[in-house]
Amino acid sequence: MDLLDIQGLTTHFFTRSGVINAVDNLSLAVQKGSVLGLVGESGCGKTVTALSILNLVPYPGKIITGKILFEGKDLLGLSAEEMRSIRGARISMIFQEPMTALNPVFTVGDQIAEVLTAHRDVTRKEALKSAADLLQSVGIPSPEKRVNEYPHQLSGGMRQRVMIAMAIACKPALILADEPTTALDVTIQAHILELLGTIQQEMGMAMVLVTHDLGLIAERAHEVAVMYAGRIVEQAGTKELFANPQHPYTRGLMASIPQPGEEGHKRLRTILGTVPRLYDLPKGCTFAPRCDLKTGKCEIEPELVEVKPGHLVRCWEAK
Amino acid sequence: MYMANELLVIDNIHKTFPVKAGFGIKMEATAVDGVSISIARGEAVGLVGESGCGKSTLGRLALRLLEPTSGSVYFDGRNLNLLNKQELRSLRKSMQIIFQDPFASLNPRMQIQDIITEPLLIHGMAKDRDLEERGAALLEKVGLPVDALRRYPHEFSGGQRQRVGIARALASGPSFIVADEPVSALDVSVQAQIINLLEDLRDELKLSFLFIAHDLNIVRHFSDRVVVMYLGKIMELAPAEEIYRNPSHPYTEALLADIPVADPTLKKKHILLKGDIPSPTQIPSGCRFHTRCIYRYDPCDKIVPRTTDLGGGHFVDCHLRG
Repeated sequence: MDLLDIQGLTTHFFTRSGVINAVDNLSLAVQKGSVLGLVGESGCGKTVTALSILNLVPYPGKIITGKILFEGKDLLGLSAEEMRSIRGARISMIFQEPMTALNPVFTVGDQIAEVLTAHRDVTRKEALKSAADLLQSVGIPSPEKRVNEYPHQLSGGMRQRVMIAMAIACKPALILADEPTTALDVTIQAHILELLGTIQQEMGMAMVLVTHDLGLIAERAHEVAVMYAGRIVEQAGTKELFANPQHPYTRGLMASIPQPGEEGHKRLRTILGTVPRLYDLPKGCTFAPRCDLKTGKCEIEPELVEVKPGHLVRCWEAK
Repeated sequence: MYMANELLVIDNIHKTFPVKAGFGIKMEATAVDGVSISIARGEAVGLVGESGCGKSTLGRLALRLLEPTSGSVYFDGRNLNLLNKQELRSLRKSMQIIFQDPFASLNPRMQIQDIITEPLLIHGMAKDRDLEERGAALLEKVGLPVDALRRYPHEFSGGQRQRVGIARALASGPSFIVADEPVSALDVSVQAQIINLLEDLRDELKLSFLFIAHDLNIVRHFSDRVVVMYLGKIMELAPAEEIYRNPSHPYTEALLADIPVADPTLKKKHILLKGDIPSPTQIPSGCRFHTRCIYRYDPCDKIVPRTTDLGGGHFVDCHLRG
């Protein structure tokens, strides 16, 4: 059984300018212990997908339809109290901006302890002791001291480690990491990713890694789903995706990254045009206006088709 | 020594900021701690470093948008410190800046035409009736449609707004541009478009650039020479290809090694530096990188390393590698 099985998820935002089709009939599965990369640019719907899993989509967003099966149970059918017992304990989330995700008026110790007292039968004192142990396990030096500090007293990298400590406190089966290192310097990023990788392996956790960085995906994900304008346009095992990208968008993304191996001043390859506004999506294939391979067929939106075992593509031109 | 080919010379510049630490205790944050660089006509110098390295501060000092604590900047042979307000303003026609945040750097209440032609009005370079024509010409240069002139920033995407910022920077006909992380806030596919645009403009208009970024791959692509900064000081300076093929400073090595590479078959070994980046209010003794350096040895926490010339325009500040 898949650990997480999303079936036909559709999430809309009802705004004054129109209805934004943020996630459109999305289906994804995550296996126990594996890392699924969810990659795409701004507005593609990857963060909303992660928030939908935990039913945390902010107003004016609303999950319209779909099933989110976690260990066989549909999360969307749970009561608020049942869902609360899942969040932070069975499925947790690491957010992109550690400064805004942490509460500035509580110590980091209190914030980690809160996760434990909410889900486990422990006293506050015991929880604070565990908080210090957790800070140690995420590589924060002098944890007994840090436990009493406030978020603003810590660097960006440390705050992210605190968030990771909160996320793993109850040994969840699944972690949703939403751009966990985007706000961090590259040398700190290397540490955080190493830490996440170690924890994930040691604890046998599954992870959904949401990012725009293809490099992170290549290094950390077992399976990748590429999103564009609210839909998955390609999905495959990581090695396969990088070896044989089929969708023009995936290929365009990979080509536009300046690669360290390249020499000289070769012009960067670009994808013409810009991401469409989500309340003004073109009919048919949403990527067609920017696509070199566009034909008459593209006026009808392609389905996600398995072109090779385990490799799905949403494109009429894919073989 | 000033050489005619050098358009911009930064000479031993320092910048500290007072920081209040509570209870009236005053501390100082050293943002730039004795930096000297020169940029030749038509040259693009890339400036990389992580948080707190001082690269943005240096970019602003180069244009005297910030007053240095000590040291000087010479533009076209003239010491910016010695200019009065009018002279500085007049010189600013030739030296412009492109900002990082396309959402904060454009006045939301001004139409695009007004934003990009404002420099022309300020410097008395065009009359009101010419502005529409000049605006249209600028938009064409940056690949935006003419109908954008009468629209407002919020109607455009991040990449398009950045093009507006570039158009504005070009309006007064500068010879030198400070590009302060011009693509960091943009999606990857848009970054490529903007970089290509900047390259085209650079070739066509023979511009010099100080290109500030934290993404080493983009800097390599755009720059002739690259400077690596850490906590206010230059650690390494070399021609772009050289710094990527033969990095000398341990910090540069780590920066290069820590970039995730988009190739799952390459098992890249990341260099994990020790600890966090120190605060600019507490610069470590000796070589300021010693607290994180994996090669640290005896002199590193005691003596500040001198700059060593490795030949071929490659300089490094390191006891081990110098």
